[in-house]
Amino acid sequence: MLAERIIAALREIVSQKNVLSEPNQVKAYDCDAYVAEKSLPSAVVFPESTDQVARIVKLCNAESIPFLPRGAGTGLSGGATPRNGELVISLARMDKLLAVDFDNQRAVVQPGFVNLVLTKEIARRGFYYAPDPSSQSVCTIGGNLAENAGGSHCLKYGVTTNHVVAAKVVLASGEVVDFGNPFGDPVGYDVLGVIVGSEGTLGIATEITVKILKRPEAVKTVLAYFDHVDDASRTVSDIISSGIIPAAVEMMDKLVMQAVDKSRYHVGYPVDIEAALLVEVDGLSAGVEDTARRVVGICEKNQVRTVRTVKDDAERALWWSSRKMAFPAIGRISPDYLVQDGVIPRTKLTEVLRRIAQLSGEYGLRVANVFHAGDGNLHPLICYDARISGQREQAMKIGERILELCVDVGGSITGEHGVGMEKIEQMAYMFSATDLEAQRRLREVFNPRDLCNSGKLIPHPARCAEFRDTQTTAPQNLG
Amino acid sequence: MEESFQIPEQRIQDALMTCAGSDYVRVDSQLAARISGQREPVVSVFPGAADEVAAVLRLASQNGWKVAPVGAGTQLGFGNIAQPIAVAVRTERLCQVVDYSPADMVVTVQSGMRFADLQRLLASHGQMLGIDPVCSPTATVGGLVATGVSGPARVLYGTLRDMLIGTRIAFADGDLVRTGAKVVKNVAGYDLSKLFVGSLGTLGILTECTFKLKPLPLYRELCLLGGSITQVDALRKRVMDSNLIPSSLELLATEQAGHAADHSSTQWMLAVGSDEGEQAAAFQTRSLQQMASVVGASLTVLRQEEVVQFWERYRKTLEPSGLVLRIQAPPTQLASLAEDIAAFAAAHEVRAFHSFSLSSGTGRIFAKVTDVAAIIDLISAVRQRCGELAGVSVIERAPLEVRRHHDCFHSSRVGEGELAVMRSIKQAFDPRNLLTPSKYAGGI
Ligand SMILES: Cc1cc2nc3c(=O)[nH]c(=O)nc-3n(C[C@H](O)[C@H](O)[C@H](O)COP(=O)(O)OP(=O)(O)OC[C@H]3O[C@@H](n4cnc5c(N)ncnc54)[C@H](O)[C@@H]3O)c2cc1C
Ligand SMILES: Cc1cc2nc3c(=O)[nH]c(=O)nc-3n(C[C@H](O)[C@H](O)[C@H](O)COP(=O)(O)OP(=O)(O)OC[C@H]3O[C@@H](n4cnc5c(N)ncnc54)[C@H](O)[C@@H]3O)c2cc1C
Repeated sequence: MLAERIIAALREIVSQKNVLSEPNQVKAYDCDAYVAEKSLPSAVVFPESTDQVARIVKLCNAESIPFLPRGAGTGLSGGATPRNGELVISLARMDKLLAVDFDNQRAVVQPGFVNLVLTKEIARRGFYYAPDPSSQSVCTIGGNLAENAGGSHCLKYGVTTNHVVAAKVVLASGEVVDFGNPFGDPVGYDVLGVIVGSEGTLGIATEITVKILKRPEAVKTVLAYFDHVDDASRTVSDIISSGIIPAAVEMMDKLVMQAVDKSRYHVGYPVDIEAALLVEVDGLSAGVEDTARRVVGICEKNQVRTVRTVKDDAERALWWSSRKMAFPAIGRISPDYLVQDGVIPRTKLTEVLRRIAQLSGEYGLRVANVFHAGDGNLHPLICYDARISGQREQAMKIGERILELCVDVGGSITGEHGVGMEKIEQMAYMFSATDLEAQRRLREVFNPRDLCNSGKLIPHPARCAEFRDTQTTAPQNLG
Repeated sequence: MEESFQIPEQRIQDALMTCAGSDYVRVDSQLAARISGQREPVVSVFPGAADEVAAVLRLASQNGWKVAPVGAGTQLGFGNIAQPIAVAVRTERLCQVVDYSPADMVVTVQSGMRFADLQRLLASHGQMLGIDPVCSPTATVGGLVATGVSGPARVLYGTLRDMLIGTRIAFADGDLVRTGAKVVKNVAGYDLSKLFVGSLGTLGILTECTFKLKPLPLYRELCLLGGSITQVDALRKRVMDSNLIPSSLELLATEQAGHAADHSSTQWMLAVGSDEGEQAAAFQTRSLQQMASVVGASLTVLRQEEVVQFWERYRKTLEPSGLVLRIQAPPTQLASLAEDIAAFAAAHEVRAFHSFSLSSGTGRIFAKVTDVAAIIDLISAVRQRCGELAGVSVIERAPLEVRRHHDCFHSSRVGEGELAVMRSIKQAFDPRNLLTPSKYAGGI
């Protein structure tokens, strides 16, 4: 808990109503969407301007108070979880669209601005914002910047880092600095490039300039059902190696299909198929028809059971809702679940899915798979029941084994959800001590006192005793 | 005071032989002048493996020798004039493909591999690295990354920053570090790879680069639209406001491409490409024909091999330019900026060629350097105009005399705060300031 004096100083900066400090008020901020570990914040503040953020951060420095930024709290790796009892700086009230320049294809937003709202606001002129995480109807562009969020369509259009061109950032010291260039290449080191994806450990973005794109003229979506996962995997490889760049290629396995069909978004997947592929191609009408036909042909070559092209926008919306609501839908078949986010070379898909099925058998826990197949970004959903003692630990153990498997086949432990606190141990599996030391050097440039979101993204060096007590969650903060 | 150039080259040479073998170390007096204009010779070392690069750097940091990484040496005229260098780390023996899985569309190569060789290899699998910069056929992959090059294709494919997904780097203290991963999507840890794109060898020596690839277009078409600057800018606006998917949207001064324009009065040309397949290209060309007739511009269509040849001619024509100046400003302002620059160039009797990738907000001015004083004045005029538009101008290539006069990095956007962060990054990774000191932005 913060001293009354500090609460008063915070109120001075952001006004009475924008500070929460009672335990029952701050409880909602004890974790993000990674719910396996919780810890109460010392308080929560809601600044409304860059200047207020800077003053709060300066106060934190003067008083040595640990702090962290928070967007919508949909992060899946514990990035916004105050593991050291941080002061949570919520950007929820900095949610304005500051400027749109259609002619030059740029928009400037505050960090709390919601991803999908941007697309909605610019749709009337035929524009959209490309990165489309499944959580886009609630997550913020500040959170997207911090996690370098991806989405289903990043296969063709790239992830957040390919779309953020400039940002105003309140550094961990409280200094306000503009990074990046709205047009063209960085002049000097690409500092913005390392701030994107830094999970709130290098500073707080308070104004973000992004590219906006013209909507493609035509979109074709293909849904294919496969009796065997292997055939679906091979189809993915064949589509990519044929020279087609699909906008999206998503795969769902049997368990996921069962779960989403129980939800509001009922597609009616056949109960006896092993995998469904959702493939989308877009571009000029003149070429898209033909590309979609080629995709269908490739499915047919790989023993597809049925494959069809979407009939209208309503059906397309249903198919996508079914895909995008897959995580929450798992709640219908399991009381709890854990999502992993490993990435593998596309060509290893069949092999890795088989190993995951084996691990599931070994631990006696169901694992559902729904993922961005086109770029090899897996999302195994490990089902467990927290009420049964030991199951949560077992689930975490499978998760670790899956991540190690991804690294073993030449991949990564995370494609878009970030390391946070969840995968911090696996960083040492993926990177050598020297690699991690280089990352630490970067962090120290920005965050020398380690007050800003400590204990996330990269493990502290074990040898450094002074850091040790900030590594583990303080017992009194356990939610 | 650390005056590395006072150390006799002989001693450095002997010491380096323990890292790379006696056949691969030599004293070089010509290269020295090109790196920093210094009189003292440098010792060139040609490591054959990443750990040899690391060993060289370890030795250099123990002795306080200043080091410059050198690829093919075709672009040493980019950047401010470095402090005198003792050791040049030549990457030409690091030219192997480390890993190439065409089905994954990811390639890892050593940094000394020639870009032309890489593209040839990828093309044999129907793939490519999606950049098309003006560069010498000998330019290396490491050199391209370190200079952050780009060409007209950036409007569709992006830049090296979007393609470089992993690296192996030798830091100044001799640590060999991996950044990123070899898969197309990855957010594990800080994206350190980004710091090396355009870092001009000031932060570490790249030994390996991993890129994501694109399929080689099966069909190419290019529309060349000619007209006045106003007509061409009107076309730019229409294209950007349409659903078309141009693979280039390049504003060119017609003579430079070596293309015999139909109308001798045509001054400006817009080169709009399509890589989307034959049907889509036909549609795009029809749309452009309509736009051209509305604004009264001329139109020529090139197909397939003609397109490849057009851009090859373009690169060949521009490659020998002694001055390359990169400009950045909003797309809506580039045309008028180009027109102003053309007027400045005419006033200074400099024959300048313009090549602006309009929708990306970047452009380059290429010129032959005959009169250094005129070039210096031209750059001053361009910078003043860019400043008024909150734009950027970076000297990517110029003779020493020009770079003695002008800082290569000019931006009305990069402030003291951002520069201070850059300096701290340099300090963190190269605390003894060994890697091409003073060459970079902000005196780094
Ligand atoms: C159902 C569901 C589906 C999802 N699907 C996807 C998906 O398809 N793709 C994907 O990439 N992710 C997905 N996610 C994860 C999550 O939505 C993203 O990581 C998102 O970017 C987080 O945004 P947020 O606003 O909720 O950030 P938060 O969770 O509040 O914060 C995330 C991190 O960003 C930091 N942060 C927040 N704001 C700022 C700021 N202004 N400046 C600096 N740091 C900041 C925080 O400290 C924290 O470390 C999904 C999550 C859920 C629950
Ligand atoms: C006349 C001319 C016109 C050009 N026009 C354009 C243009 O229009 N667009 C464009 O984008 N580019 C242009 N370039 C730039 C050029 O294409 C590249 O910069 C060049 O090819 C770099 O390759 P190199 O191997 O010769 O590098 P070098 O000249 O050897 O090195 C260039 C820089 O990179 C550093 N470096 C080299 N290798 C490494 C490494 N392994 N690790 C770290 N640092 C390293 C060096 O220290 C040096 O600072 C032009 C070049 C020429 C010759």
